[in-house]
Amino acid sequence: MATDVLMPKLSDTMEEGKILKWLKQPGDRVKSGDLLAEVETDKANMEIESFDEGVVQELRVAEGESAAVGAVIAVLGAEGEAKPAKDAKPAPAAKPEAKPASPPPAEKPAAKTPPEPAKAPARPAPAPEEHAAGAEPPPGAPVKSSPLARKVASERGVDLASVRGTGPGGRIVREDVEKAGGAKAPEAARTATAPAAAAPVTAGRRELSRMRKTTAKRMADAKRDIPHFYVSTDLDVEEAVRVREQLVKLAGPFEGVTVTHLLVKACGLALRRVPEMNASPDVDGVVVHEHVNVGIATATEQGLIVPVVRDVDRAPLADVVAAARAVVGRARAGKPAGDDLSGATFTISNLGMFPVSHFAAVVNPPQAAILAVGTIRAVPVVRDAAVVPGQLMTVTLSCDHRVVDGALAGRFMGELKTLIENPLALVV
Amino acid sequence: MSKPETRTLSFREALREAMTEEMERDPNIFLMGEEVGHYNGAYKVSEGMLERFGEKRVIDTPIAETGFAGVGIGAAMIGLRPIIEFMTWNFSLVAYDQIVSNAAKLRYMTNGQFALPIVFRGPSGAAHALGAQHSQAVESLYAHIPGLKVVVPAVPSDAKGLLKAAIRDDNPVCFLESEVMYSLKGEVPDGEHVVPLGVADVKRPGRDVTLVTWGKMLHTALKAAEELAGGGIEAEVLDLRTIRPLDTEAVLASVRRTHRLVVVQEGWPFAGVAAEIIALVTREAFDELDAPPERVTNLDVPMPYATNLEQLVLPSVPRIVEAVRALTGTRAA
Repeated sequence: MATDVLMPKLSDTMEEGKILKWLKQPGDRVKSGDLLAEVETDKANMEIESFDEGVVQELRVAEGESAAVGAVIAVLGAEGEAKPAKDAKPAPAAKPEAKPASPPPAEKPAAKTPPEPAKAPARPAPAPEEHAAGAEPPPGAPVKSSPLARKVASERGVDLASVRGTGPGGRIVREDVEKAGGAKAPEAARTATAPAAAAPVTAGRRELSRMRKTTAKRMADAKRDIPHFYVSTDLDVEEAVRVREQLVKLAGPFEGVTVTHLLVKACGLALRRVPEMNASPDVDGVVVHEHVNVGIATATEQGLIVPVVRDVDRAPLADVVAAARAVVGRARAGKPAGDDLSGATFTISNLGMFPVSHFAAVVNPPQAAILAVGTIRAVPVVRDAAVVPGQLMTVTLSCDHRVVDGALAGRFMGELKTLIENPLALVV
Repeated sequence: MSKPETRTLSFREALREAMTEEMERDPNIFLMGEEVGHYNGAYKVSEGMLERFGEKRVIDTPIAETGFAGVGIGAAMIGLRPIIEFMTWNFSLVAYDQIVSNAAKLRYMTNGQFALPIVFRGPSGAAHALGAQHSQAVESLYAHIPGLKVVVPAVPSDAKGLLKAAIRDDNPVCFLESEVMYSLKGEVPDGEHVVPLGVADVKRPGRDVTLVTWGKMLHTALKAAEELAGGGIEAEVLDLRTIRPLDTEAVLASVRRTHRLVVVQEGWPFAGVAAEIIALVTREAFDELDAPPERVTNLDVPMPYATNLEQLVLPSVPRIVEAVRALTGTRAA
């Protein structure tokens, strides 16, 4: 959709402005805030900036030519939008650098350059009626608006950039927004409050706890800002399950050991072998962490929290088991200790207690990856060229692509698979 | 509800009626201060009260504010209900320690074992050419202190109703009057008339801007509102009546109606009551504001003696009108 660029009112007394120099040419991409042209007013030479984005389709006023305040001086279009037919003749742009210093008299270029009926007369259309008594903010200054004006604009869907402020210093006040959005506002308000027939019937509403609010915000931020990618693999956990059963029988330091604990230890060792995974994004960089601390996503009454087991790569399995049981226990009881919840460099989320074959988790920033663990399935597997009953677990690694590449994720998964399928490596 | 019968009373008569009615109702109440008895009051507020209640209940004191403020506090602690008159609140400053360190704290520090049913009252603020030391508006000094209530009536009916409520309150109350208002006349309802503390009053409704004020500045604000109305700006004038406890809901409700706020305060700007109100509104009604809140206060200087300079220092109708027009912008043209 084409957007008209108008000659702005750059001073209280300005009635017309002369384009001294175009700073953008047809085909140039323009962002909001980009400088478009140098303009000579009755007071001074000033630069004008764009309030819109798009690609310059047309310059309607030649350099050296004047236009009335409010007249269309250029047209912006969407990217890839078909340029108007007359674009073949890029009228004023033909002589961009020819004469920046001494612009010719207004009449001459006006007569020959733009074949534009709308602005054919040498003296273009008068300023639009909306010119208000309020002082105009200088170009480049942020659009000032009162808190109330912003609230009303947001309620009515009015774009403040399109509203002219009449308050002190050009501030947009409520009345300006109401006038700008006046026609459709009441209707919009009515539809918003009217009981829509199709609206679902509410069975109740609960206020989110502070923790759940935080989680909601962090997850929304993470899923929006982090370029996720996912890699999955099947782990043959028959050996791991057997080792766990033996450890359970040993009890003592291995009391309460679970497959999750074995996975925590395996991930710790895999992270030590692939340290680039044990990292966080930095501004234009990646920080590799010295310690390998694995978080265990834990559902509690209050919400989702992630207690952390520290130095998982160095600690013996028995210590990992004890530490994991302690931090998860405190988290479930709602009484996490000082740093139970901080410092994780990697997270494991296990839904194996549910009939979930596989899933993909949201990366928990500033970590680089999170491992989503499905349930253990009894399935036929090929072993020594024979199909035999086996036990598989599908794990899916979600990665922050700013930190981790697919090949790196693949290497990590390879290490993890080797470790979990040869579980003695976890015990020694 | 039928409108009660009223009588026209001066501000000082309204105060006298409040004290007299309460002292007749409760024998534990007494009045003490400089010249309250035989001289009938420095500003004749207590005229005739010595004759009516005798020397045990209307007590002349030496010129010793620390002493008689402290005696009053002790009396309140053992169950009496003193009214301590300061000839002006400027003189209360020598008793500031008694009021701030004892009256305001003892109920709290004794976990409520002692109540402090005491009223300190007298005129505050500038009058006419009293000089820097005798022209101070003290509400910010006392409203700063938790444990004190601060009441500033502006019309005779509120003067009577609020003083009765203050006398009945079990906490120390600083009750600020004004030399220049003692002769102000107004309608006061007949019969029992008590105005609860902590309730503000809209003295003039309007839709374009809220003028929050109290005490004698109410009359300046009302004149400014009149002038603004001539220019098409309808100012709502909210009389706080009580500074502390502050009727926050009334302030916020008014700002939600008008979306603009100007606080008119006698006294200095720095850390004043106006700053507190603006902080409240900025925090609680930010999205209702169509313009930055503003205040009109004394200029930040000791009060000059010369009357022409005194007028420049005090908030005035032109300064209020100017402040409002700066907020409403082109609408004021």
